[in-house]
Amino acid sequence: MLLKNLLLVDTKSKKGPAEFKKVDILIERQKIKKISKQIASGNYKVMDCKKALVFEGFFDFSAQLGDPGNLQVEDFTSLSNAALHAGFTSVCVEPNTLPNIDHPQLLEGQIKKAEHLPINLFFKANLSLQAQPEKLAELYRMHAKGAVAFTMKDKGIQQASLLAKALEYTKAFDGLVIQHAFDQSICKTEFVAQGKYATKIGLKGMPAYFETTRVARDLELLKYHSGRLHFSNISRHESVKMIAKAKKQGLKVSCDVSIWHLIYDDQSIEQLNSNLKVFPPFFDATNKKKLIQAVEDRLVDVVTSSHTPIAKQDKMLEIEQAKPGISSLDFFYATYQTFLSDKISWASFLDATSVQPRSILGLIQPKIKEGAQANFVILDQTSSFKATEDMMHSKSKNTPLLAQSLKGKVMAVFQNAKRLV
Amino acid sequence: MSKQQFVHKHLISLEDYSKKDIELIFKTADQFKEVLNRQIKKVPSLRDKTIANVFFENSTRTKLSFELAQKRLSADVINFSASNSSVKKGESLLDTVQNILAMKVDMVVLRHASVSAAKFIAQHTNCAVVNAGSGTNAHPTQGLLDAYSLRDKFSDLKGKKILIVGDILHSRVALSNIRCLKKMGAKVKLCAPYTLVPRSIDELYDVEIETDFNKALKWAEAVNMLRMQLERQNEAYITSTEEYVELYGLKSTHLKMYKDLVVLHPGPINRGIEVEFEVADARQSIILNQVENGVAIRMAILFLISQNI
Repeated sequence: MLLKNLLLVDTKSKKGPAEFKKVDILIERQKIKKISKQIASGNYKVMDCKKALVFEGFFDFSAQLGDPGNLQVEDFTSLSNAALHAGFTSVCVEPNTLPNIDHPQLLEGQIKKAEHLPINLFFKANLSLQAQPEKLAELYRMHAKGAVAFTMKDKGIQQASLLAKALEYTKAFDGLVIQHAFDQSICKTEFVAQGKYATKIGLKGMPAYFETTRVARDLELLKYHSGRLHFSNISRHESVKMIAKAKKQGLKVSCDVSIWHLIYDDQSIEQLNSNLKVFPPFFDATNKKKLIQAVEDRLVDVVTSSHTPIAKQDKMLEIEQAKPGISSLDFFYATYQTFLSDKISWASFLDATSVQPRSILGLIQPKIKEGAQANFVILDQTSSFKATEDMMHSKSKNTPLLAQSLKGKVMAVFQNAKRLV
Repeated sequence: MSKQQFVHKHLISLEDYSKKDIELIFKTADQFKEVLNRQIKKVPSLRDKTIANVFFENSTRTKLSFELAQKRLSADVINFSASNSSVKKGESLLDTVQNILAMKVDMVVLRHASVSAAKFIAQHTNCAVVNAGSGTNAHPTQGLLDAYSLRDKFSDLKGKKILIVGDILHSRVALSNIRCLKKMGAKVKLCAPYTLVPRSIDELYDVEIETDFNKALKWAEAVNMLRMQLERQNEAYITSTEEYVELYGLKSTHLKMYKDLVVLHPGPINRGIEVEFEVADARQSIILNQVENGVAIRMAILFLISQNI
């Protein structure tokens, strides 16, 4: 099969648009036989891609699953279909299922369920036991079975002593500890950012230091204990700055932001729309602008979907009662193309959604090159459409994008030369 | 009744209303106030309408005031309160309201602890919604009746100096007052310890903050004394009731010093706390006028909204 007129980007470059090159790709026996500026059609079956982008596929660093315990919101099949149709070839799922994945056997069960999926699933495991949160889970055995990182997703690691132990213990096998940095004592009942928009609707909101004080503390711990620490779902630009500085000083630290924190700011509170309720909350427009710049400057390592499927009965509620989170996989590429492509170059975005997540987890970076397996994703940058529930493969439809006009579609996904989408 | 344009189907928050809308509500209330002083205090304006008062929080005067306004307008009225409902059996807010609406109700007067409740119901049902208090967000009819009572006193609110004292942070009354008064051109100052002042409120509504009650009183032409929610003391927003009373309680001595000061209170009053016992009954107090005006204002808003359903 011959794919003609594709645009390939060099992810190492800092300048997106300038580094595209037009290529034709010839596939034979599940492999990429040839990549060249121009390949003669000959007798090949030809697909004209009309200057669509070709790349290795997104890697989502943070998505939630409903299996086990909450199958109505997301199961393995629905998650992988949603991911695949959005251009993801790999997804790393959180352990906050019911029960939490805090034991090697539970992890083994999850890995087995993921075996025949069209995408690669990777698993984070609980850092501590669900029933005894102060006690570390069997980190080594879960690492040996395939857990790529350890986290206390919803609760964050509140106790400094627990983080210290986790950092020390995981050093033996170069394990990765993931922190959701927030000071629980500051955000007891609050769910929006403090400021004029919170005041406008009568809410107190949480101050920015709910996160920054925790990042500062944890960096001190990392400096003292060493180990590898990743901050997930960062919402403040000051946190990114601290993390970048620590990294420069040689600490093994990285961070991610959700794509939503690059699109929405605290003005969205005014809508009182429970589909825009997330944790951590959206802060002011200046903060958002600085986060976007930090992605472009590659100070933020990873951009995640932060996929959080939630049942309608848990979202169609008054805002205080509604669960936080957005079902994010389905329109992920369109979200970038519609809202961010003029602010973050494709090269930087790919670095944050494909290269860095794999690199942090120590996984092999797939390459589109001659002789490699024919695994890649083709993106149509210009097609536009109106987002509807019917288009979504996720079981949960909790997204603020419904009824909005979006731009950018996944044209095709190839795996071992087989077209999956 | 007035033929001026009124486009709203709901009253969720005064954020959504213009100065013209508020002026029309006031003018309409003037006419209903006249009705309330007649021998027969009733008009047939809403005789074809059914209104449900759906209260998920306790209320005495607001509920009575709405019910009386509805009856004076000849509407059919049903009352619902959370204490005798299926809410305790786990029914969602939306399901509860939809069940009430299935009985062919035209308008819902809703009080609920959530900041989004009134808007949520307006978005997800077809009925008209009048917000009778949504969490710490809004209590628009209280904002209207307070401003209306001040208009009675001052005739024009433009440039008038209005002081709001007390727990601004947890007060939907304060927010609705500020929204209404600022739209009518009044100057607004807030007086409270900073623990009870919401972040960025000065920037948001162009109001001033003064922590010194005596200085603030010297400036003010009218003062609205918010009810101190005594349970806040446990949350360390104030140190003790005694200290609060000393610093922010309105006393008879103040009224002697500022003879023309107009005193408001949204009720219910904690006599001896935010106002000294005698202050509520003093010549300068318009607290009972507020209650009277509340019925006229609610008649006006129910009437105007009913024209759009």
